Amino acid sequence: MAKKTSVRKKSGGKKSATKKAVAKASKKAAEPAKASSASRLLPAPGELIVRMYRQGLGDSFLLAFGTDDPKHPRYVLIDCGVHSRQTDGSKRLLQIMNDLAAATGNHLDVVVATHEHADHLSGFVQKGSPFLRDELEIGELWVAWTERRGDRQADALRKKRGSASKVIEKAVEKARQRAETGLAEQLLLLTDFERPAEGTVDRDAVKEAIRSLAARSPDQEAVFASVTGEFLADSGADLGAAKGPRKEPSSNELALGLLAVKARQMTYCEPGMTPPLSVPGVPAARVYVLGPPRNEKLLKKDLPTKVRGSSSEDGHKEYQEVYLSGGANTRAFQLSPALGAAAELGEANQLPDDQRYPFAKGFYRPFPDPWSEHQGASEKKPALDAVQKFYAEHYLDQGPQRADSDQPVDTSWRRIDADWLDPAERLALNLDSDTNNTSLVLAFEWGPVGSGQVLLFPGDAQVGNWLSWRDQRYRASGKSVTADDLLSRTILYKVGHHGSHNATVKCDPRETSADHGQGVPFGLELMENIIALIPVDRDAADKKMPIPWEMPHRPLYERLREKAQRRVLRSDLRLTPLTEGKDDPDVVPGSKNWQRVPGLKGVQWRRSSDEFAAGTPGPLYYDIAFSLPE
Amino acid sequence: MAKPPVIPPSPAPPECSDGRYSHPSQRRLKVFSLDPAADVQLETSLISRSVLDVPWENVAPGPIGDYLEVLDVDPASDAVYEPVDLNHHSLLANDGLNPSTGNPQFHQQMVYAVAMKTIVNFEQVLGRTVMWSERTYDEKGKIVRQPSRRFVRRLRIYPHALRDQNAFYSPAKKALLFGYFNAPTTDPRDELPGGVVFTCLSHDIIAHETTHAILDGMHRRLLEASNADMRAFHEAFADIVAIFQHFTLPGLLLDQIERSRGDLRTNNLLAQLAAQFARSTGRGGALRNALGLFGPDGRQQSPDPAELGRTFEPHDRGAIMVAAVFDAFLRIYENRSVDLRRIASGGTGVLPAGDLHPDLARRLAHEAVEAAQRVLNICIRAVDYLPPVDVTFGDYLRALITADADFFPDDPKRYRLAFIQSFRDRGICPQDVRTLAEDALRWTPLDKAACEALRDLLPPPAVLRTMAYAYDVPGALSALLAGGNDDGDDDDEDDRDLAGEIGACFRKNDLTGATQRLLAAAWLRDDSSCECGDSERVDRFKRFETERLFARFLHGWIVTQARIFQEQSSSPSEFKDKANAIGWHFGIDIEQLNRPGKDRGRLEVHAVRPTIRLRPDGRSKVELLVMLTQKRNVKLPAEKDKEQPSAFGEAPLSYQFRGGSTIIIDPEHGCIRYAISKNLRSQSRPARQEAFLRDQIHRHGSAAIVQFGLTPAAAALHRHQEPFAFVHGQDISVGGY
Repeated sequence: MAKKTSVRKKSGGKKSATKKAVAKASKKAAEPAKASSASRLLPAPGELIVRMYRQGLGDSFLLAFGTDDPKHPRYVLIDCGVHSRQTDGSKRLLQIMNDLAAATGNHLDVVVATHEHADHLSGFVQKGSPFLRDELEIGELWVAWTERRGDRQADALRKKRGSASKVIEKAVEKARQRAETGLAEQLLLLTDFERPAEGTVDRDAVKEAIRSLAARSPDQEAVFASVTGEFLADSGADLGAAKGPRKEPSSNELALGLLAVKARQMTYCEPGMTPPLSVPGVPAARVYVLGPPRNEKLLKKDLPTKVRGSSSEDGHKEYQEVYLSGGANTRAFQLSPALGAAAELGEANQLPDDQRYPFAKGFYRPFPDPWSEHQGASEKKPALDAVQKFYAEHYLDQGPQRADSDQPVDTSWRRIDADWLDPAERLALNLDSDTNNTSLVLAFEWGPVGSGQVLLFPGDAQVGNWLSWRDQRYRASGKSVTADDLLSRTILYKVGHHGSHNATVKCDPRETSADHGQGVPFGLELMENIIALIPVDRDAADKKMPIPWEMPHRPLYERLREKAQRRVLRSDLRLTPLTEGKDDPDVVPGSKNWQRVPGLKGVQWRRSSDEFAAGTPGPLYYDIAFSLPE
Repeated sequence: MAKPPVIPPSPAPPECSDGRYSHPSQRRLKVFSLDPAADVQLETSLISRSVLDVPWENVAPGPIGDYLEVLDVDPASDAVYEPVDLNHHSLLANDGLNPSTGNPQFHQQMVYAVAMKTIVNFEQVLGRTVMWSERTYDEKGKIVRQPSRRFVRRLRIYPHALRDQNAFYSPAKKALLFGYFNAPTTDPRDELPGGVVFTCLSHDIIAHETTHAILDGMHRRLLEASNADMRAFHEAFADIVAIFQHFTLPGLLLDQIERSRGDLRTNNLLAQLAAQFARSTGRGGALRNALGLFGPDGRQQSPDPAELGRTFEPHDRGAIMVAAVFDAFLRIYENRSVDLRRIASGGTGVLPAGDLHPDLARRLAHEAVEAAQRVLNICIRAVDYLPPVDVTFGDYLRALITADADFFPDDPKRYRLAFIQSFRDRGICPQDVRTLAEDALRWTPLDKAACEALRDLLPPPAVLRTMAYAYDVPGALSALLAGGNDDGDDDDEDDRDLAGEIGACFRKNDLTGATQRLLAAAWLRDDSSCECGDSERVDRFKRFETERLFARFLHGWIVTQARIFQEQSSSPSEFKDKANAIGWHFGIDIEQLNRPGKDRGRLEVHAVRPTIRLRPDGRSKVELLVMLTQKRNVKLPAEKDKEQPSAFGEAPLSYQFRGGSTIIIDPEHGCIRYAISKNLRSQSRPARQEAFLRDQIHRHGSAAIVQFGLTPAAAALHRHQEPFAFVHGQDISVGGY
């Protein structure tokens, strides 16, 4: 029934959508958008087309599975977002989303949301997004178990992430207050995975859309709440009053909520799910869930660590898990009285106030705060005691001229008022990694169980998530496969985290042998003869000072080129980064007509005839078609 | 809680004694021998506390002395802690406060005592005052010129600066910042889970960070990495000093000799660094262990010479050199104690099972102290024999051998071979020697002809003598500078002060005039400003000013001579030959020096200081140590076939290529003994540095551009970074790319 509706609505609804888009996007965009509205993506029966959208630094992949009915292929969308650093990111994303709606006839059988980062989710809620319109329909939503509310482990993770962002928020505030604008900027930049570009999301419109959808069926309200942890029955009523101040859901949470309400069915994916997920109506494909792991240690791990100088005598293993992420090692920082975050973290009740200081109360004298003058100048300051006077004189240089006159009086350059805020940077990095590690990792097996081709979509999974894939077996139709086996059959690899250094693994350091002192080969090292897709725009990744990201990481990129025989598809304008000089260029689709992919049997590719209207020009997408393997 | 006492409560002892009693020479202060964790282990509890003797000085509450100022502010807790008053009679009579984790005043006492002890170790070996590095840039990135603003009298110590598992020396603030944190362990055998760990109570961490500061004061350009060894060297050197400081604690040493039955190649506390820190952060038994890895028998594993080629993280790479030095120490110790073992075992050398005889343990400990003293001595002295820029581990080995030969001319047991062997075993070999023989490794003394050729570039012996001997004279030359104020102009025209007068002479090519003025000022100065009686103590600021005056004189002399050389040479090729000879020996480029405007590579005179060596006849001899550096801005062209990280826009990358030399001069005859140089005119060195930088960009992308300051914007950013974190922020990635 629903499906028919969608088909019927298609023509009428689509037109108006296009018009809206035209009004918003520049005029140039109008032409290609119109042209593409006619073009459905229709794979032949027994064919799979992967469409890599090239909006820039951000993921959006459409998989179209041909069925016996050539008019009705099945569509799976994996993520739809762009990073706020991308120039004209939202315009570009809007253009591809219009193409997406047209190509799928406004019906997606499955939407996968890998993890809560704006560069994977921003499209769903951005202004003018087709996902905000009724006519676009979603069959199933697949998310990781880490998104489930009420799951003890998932809740704990969420809480930890929440407190980390709270602490970072406080640190930004504090840094600004202490005139350390550089640090504040840096912290905001480090956490910009959390937020879409400013002004691209109309929260009220999103809420309105969710509300109208939820109104249709009574249980949708609960679905939304189960995803975002919030009710938005109506904006006036404060249902959360009893629970304290009501938390405003982030735009990423809103995106998940929207998808949940829109989808007819929702699946929380567990690693090693048996039977594997299936794309409805496509018996030739099955989808193994590799991650995120339930193993806490691996879940938190962004970088594996080796203990130096350790010996068996110490009773410590040579490889010791050191968790840089969140938790105990930044505890002192989080509890800092000057940061003032403890109360909001709910720590104040659990911990006597005294425990937040390194010494017993008697030793502590209030800091003669040099910053108070910026706040309430008229307020009368309490008289300083002898100790405070000492520091006012020696540290703040506020005292009388010092006895040794050759010492320059101005020593303020040696003060350390804000140095202690630096750990917030690490916290922000960890927050990113932690969220990345909750990525839903899917391996699409195309063809017979145990011997088909594998398309690997690991989201932004980092080291710990990767390593966990080996901890379980995957069963389908009575056959059992291993992660190593899946990797070795991989033909298409969506490179994680835009090609950064710790989002693709080369070995498992937990297991060593005489030949492999650094760990047995794993990850990319097991893959041969692949096509690599990197959704990255170097200009965007490099864009902001002070320390830009290295995306893609050069050594990884070079290894990818070897493994993929230069079939590395990126979304920047620099299609062939190593064009001049001794290196051969990357091999990418060169024509808008289907061409055989060099070096791969039964695989064809093409580029879109449409070009981006905003930002750097270039084809909207690449299509890669796989015929069903024997 | 009682009201805190008013500060300062006790009258400071008068600077001049009233004649009834003389000042004590030492102040005794209690500290933790290792760290508080050892204090709560039964096995180590008896040796976990020591009393350090530090030189007597007039300390104000803080403690604030002549070299250090401890300021216990804790901005993260919005707190300050009462400064300890070491002159209080209760503390004077009681060797200071008792060791305690819960009393911040003890923390202040301990950082002061350990840092002072480290300073003393350097002063005793080098025979001169420790000076902190100058403040070269202000907050806005402008160069500071006024001597009184440049001079950093005291290193600041903040014992509770951070809530972080870290501690570092901040070259920008000239301060040591120590952190404290809640132990993230889950195993109470390692550390109380969630308990507070103070890095400022770790003897090793304090010594390590203080050494960074001292080394920075001696060699300012060591901070600028131009090869993979430089940052690692800074770390290694700091670790070496921290480890050999263990041997100055008699209780700890004797205990460890007894426990290891004299075999220091088994794991022992002497070789371990920062045990509590390591345990409480889940890093194993010790953060770094000078013995390296251990085999199944519990003894040290033999080193792998290939490890150096694949280790680049500064702390890890540095650990290889630390292991080499410690190995050299063990060889010397074993050599010295082999006779004792034979005596104790009836000639077999195989000691009977069970505990050592207490007398034997004491004798072994004595040998260990002697050996350690010698090794530390040489390690510190060798710093004077390093080139001022582009230092490698190989250079340090050559410096070690040269320093040892200069200080212990007689080496009957050939201990120098211990160093060569230990370094070689770990793949550390200098690039520029023909063999690894002892005499090949020694820096080559300049021959007569070379001395003759270079003679005019340096001032006459009378001036050099003055520079060597007037350095330590109280009162110094600063009185003559009083009239002149530095108005911030490098070539100031102000002739009122001595520096100005000398500068004016140089501008007129009047070398004689300049010389006469300096000599007259040095020897005919007014000494009335000397402090009463206390001739041992020289105001460090006056010494700083004196050195600065000498440095400016030398600078003016060399620049003027370079000009005169060119004017007087009969042909361009003759001048080029001269420039080549000077470049080869002194590492500087006088051709470039003579170029007008921007192309003129700035010459820097970093040090004009005395250094002491022992003559074969046993008498000590003062020599003059001069450090010259010069730089050239070199473009780092974009590689055609490689992508350039574009974070800094299209700004072209360039780096500072530096050359220069450390010159050791015999002031009696004005003869140059060594000129340890890195040639600015070299073709191969910029190629190596470029390869190193490219590799760093390849590995770290834009972060490398910031770290090495490859664009002006990046360089400004870099000045705000802290290069000396005690542990590296990111652990080694094993699984990733």
